[in-house]
Amino acid sequence: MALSFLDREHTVATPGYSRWLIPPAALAIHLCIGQAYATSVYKNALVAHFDSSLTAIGVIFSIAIVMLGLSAAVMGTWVERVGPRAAMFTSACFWAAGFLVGALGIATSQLWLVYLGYGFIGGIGLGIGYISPVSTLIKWFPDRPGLATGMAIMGFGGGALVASPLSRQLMAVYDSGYDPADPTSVASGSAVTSLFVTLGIAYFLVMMLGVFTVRVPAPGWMPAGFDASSVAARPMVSTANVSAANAIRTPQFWLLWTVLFCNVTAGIGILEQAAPMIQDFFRDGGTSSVAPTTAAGFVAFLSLFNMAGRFAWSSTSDYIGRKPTYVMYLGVGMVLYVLLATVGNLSTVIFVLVAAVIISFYGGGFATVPAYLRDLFGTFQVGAIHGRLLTAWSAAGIAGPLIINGFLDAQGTPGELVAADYRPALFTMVAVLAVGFVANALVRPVAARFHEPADPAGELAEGKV
Amino acid sequence: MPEQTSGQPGNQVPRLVVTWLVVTVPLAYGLFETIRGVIPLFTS
Repeated sequence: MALSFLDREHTVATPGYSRWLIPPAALAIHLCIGQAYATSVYKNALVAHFDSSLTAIGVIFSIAIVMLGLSAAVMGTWVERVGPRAAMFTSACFWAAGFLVGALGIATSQLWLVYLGYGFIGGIGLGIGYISPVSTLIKWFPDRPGLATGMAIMGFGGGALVASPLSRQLMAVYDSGYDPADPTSVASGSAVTSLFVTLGIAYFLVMMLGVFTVRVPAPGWMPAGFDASSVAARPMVSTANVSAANAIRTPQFWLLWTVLFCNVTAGIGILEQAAPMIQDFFRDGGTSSVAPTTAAGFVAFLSLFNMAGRFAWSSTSDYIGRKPTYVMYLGVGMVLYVLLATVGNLSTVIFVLVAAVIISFYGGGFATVPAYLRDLFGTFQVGAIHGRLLTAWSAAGIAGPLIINGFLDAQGTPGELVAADYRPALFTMVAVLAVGFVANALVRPVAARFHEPADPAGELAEGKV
Repeated sequence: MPEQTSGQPGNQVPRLVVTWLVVTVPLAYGLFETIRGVIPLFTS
């Protein structure tokens, strides 16, 4: 078979294969699919090209995120069975095809083709790609699972940081009338078509680096000097394995689902409104002291903390434990939201720093959850369980903006709001975080009746069953 | 199963360098551009 190199058995690492090749393989995938958070760069160009509304164009992104959650949930078990290489290859094909079909839609002025391409097809690539390296990383780094998954999921945040400026510069190349430095400048539809074709091909090639580099560890492999009993001796860390089918029957899964949902909902509340929020907080007499360029700088600052939090907090969780890490995200998060609501308008420094730490917790919540799942459910089908848990992200993607926009719409007209108008929404987010805090506090080790039978042949760890 | 060593890259060094460069160079570009965007936050 021409594609037999994708099979799991052909990806087992030979002795001495460096495990430090696995994080860049994972990053190659996540840096590419992280482009999903850079769609705002060409949003106005698509609105003008299709003579459509922002809402209609925003649907492209919404379809992609919904498909991310659905495909991660549905395809998780398949990803575990076929292994990371086949999953990464499939993700690359869907992601690149999504761009190419989307490009066809823009070139022919058929918006439904962009929905189908970037939204539906690309969204499947997003979901499979997001979970494809997680299980493998955890198996290669049993001593530092938080560090390993933090590196990969940091790449998802970093992907937008790369795609935003790159897309602007590419559109300037394809459309001489477009000025990437001018926020009001709008690129032509043909420039966005060329951009989609370029990104589709480039991302496919970079993702192939991940495909050809990734390996699964040989059965029974352990890093030199690693003592599995030292990890198992920690509280809340299990050596038993739980299947994905059984995991969703445990209260622990749904408690973690609630934790992730609450953490993401609260973070999205700020991310959604970052630019207008900082201007509204420092508005006096109808005029804001924060200029639009400064507000854009604030958005960029948050994206840095979003990315850094994924790596820093997830790595820290290897030392302080997963449950205490979420106590920090949710507990300290509540305090920070109260500070933002009550004293955030006193100084831009306070406002910016508090918001940045909140967003670092938002990113950290994404990156730490695979290791939390490993601790509770073992490595057997942790990727598939992670895929199912990501439905919390899709749900929060709907709930977060609904909460914040609902409150703000009730307070007044955009562009005329002040800090006090945000308080009801921010205090609601404190309550949301409190729910997550309680859910995290209720997490206990999984009952033995959900565990898989003992596995002397190591087939569970190998993913063969 | 005897333990195998993952910390001895040996002749994998070139491959390690290339794979890490492929992901860190674009990331560094993205970070640089983002930090340029952050500057107005602290200067205006």
